[in-house]
Order: sequence, then structure tokens, then C-alpha cells
Amino acid sequence: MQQRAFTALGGDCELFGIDLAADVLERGEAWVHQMHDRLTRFSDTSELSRFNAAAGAWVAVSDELEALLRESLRAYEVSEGLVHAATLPALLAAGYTRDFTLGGTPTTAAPPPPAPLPELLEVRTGGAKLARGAAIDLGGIAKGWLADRLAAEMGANCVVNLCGDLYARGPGETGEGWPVGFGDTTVLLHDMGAATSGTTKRMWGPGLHHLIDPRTARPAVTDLTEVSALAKTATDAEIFAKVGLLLGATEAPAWLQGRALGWSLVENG
Amino acid sequence: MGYRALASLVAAAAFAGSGAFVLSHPKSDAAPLQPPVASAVAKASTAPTGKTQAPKATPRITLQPGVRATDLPGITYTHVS
Repeated sequence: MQQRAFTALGGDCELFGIDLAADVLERGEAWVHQMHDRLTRFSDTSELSRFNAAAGAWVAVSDELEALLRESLRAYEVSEGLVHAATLPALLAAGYTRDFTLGGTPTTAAPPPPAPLPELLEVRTGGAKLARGAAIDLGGIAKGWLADRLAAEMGANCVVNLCGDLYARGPGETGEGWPVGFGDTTVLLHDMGAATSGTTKRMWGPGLHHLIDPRTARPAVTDLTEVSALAKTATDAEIFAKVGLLLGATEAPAWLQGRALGWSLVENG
Repeated sequence: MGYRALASLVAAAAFAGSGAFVLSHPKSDAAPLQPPVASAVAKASTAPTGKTQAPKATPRITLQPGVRATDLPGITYTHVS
């Protein structure tokens, strides 16, 4: 088995594969770094930052950003409004204004809850428009989408794990699927994605974390600290995990039933 | 006579000093072993093998039909980022 580990997208990434062509892992890592540079909100020169800065006007966007913006609109629909890419103003107000390693900044008054995403974001072939005053943070959607996309490019038998959002393609080494840690157990994944959403890792003060509830425009208040989900893609797993976390321990199982292929809920305390 | 008195004085002082030392160092069954061998052994024995996440609280896991758990060590794991 070939493997490669590196840091990108604000965390640890791993690529695995069997019978991959030469240089596939190296090229995969290079592509992830390139996408990071294009999609980060912590650089004024990234494509995402320039798109946010141009809110109010149509701007040309790359194929990748166009695809991710469309994916954000789909995530909004699938999640019934709970996965909302335009919560960046609320995230900034909560104090997450710079790279997490530099720490939080003082909070400011929370903005009102954002309007429905389709009212704020329009996408057409080669271009997109954001409503004036709105701003996008692609967050976990980008990680899930990049994992799905890279796994499709790397080969028929591989795993792409980008900061915990992962896609396992093909039968793995044994032919039964790739063994992947999920909650406190290990599951065999074959053409499946997995993702985890939680409130404890990117936390910079009491009640201050990176998961914004679009219904309140504030960091989510939930009785779950961590939700992991399995789905047909890493992007869907990311959506399901985030919805589960926002809904809480009582409502999450009923919502996930029939959507996710598996879930793991960790309650507070 | 002087040597005998001095020797008695030294003996009495040693007796009193050792008593004071014992009284100020009571035995405690709860005192940790030094070095803490017991806790190190316990930690080592519960260390996970492979890459399976160890959350702070016990997760409630639901797997739909078609997803199998395994005893194999995970090559990687999903986690909060």
C-alpha cells in the first residue's frame, strides 16, 4: 500500500492507494495545496476572498469554485437550510477572524441570521454573484468535495482523508473495503465517505467555536460535542454530520435515518 | 563522667529525633507508587491499536445495513478538524 501524509487545509491530510500510477500521491498533495491557496479565507488574494470582496457584482470564477458554490447551494437544500455557506459574517463576529493557530479575536455584535442561501448566491456557468454584504466560508464542504474529487482522480483503490473528511474508493487491501476508524470502532468502507463535525476542537472561549447555527447567527448551542456520519460521498457525510450536530441528540437520529449510512453521536459530558 | 553524660545525651537526642521523624512521616496506603508504574501500565494496556478515534465520551453508533464493523485496525479515521 502506498501512502502519503501532509498538512493542508488547516489540518492533517493522508492519501492511501494500491497499485497507483507513479507520482499520483505527490500530484494529489500538490493539488490539495493549490486548492487550499485558492479557497482559503485567510488570504486576501485567494479566489474565495476576491469573490467575497466583490459581493454585489457578477464575477468570473474558476471551474472549482463554481462547482463548490453549486455544492453549497445543494448542501443548503439537502440540509433544509442548516448547512449555510454564507455564515462568514457571523463567524467573524464570534471572533474567528484569522488562522486558528493565531487564536480568536474579541467578539462583536452578532449579525442577524442570514437570508436563505439561494437569495444570497447566484451561480451560472463561469460566473457567480454574491449579494452585497454577504460572505462565504466553504469550510467542511470544501474538504468533503475535494476528498471526493481527488479520490476519483487518484485511482480505483484509494483513500483520501482531508482533515477528517474522507472518501474510500474501491475494495481496499483485503477486498472487503478500507478499514477506517469511526467513533470508537472501525468500519469497512467501499465507495463511501465519512466526516465528523464537532464543537470542541476549534474553540477559543466558552461557547465560542466555529460551528455557526444559521438560525441564530451564533455558535451552535447543542447537547452533542461530536457527530460523525457515513454517506455515499464525503460531501454528503459532511452535510449529515453538521446537521446532526445542530439538531442535537434527540432529533438527529430521526433526521439521519434514511439519509446517512451510519452515524456516531457523542453527547456533552 | 563527662564522656558518660555526653554519650547519654547523644543517645537521648537520637531517640527523640527518630521518634519525631516517624511521627512526621505517617504511612499512607493511598500514596502513589514512585515511579508511577501502575498508571503507566494501565495507560499502555488501553492504548488503541490502529487509527481508531478515542472520543472523550462513549459514542452512540448506528450502522445501516451494508456497513460492517471490523476488528482490523483502521488505516485512518474520521475526526473533527
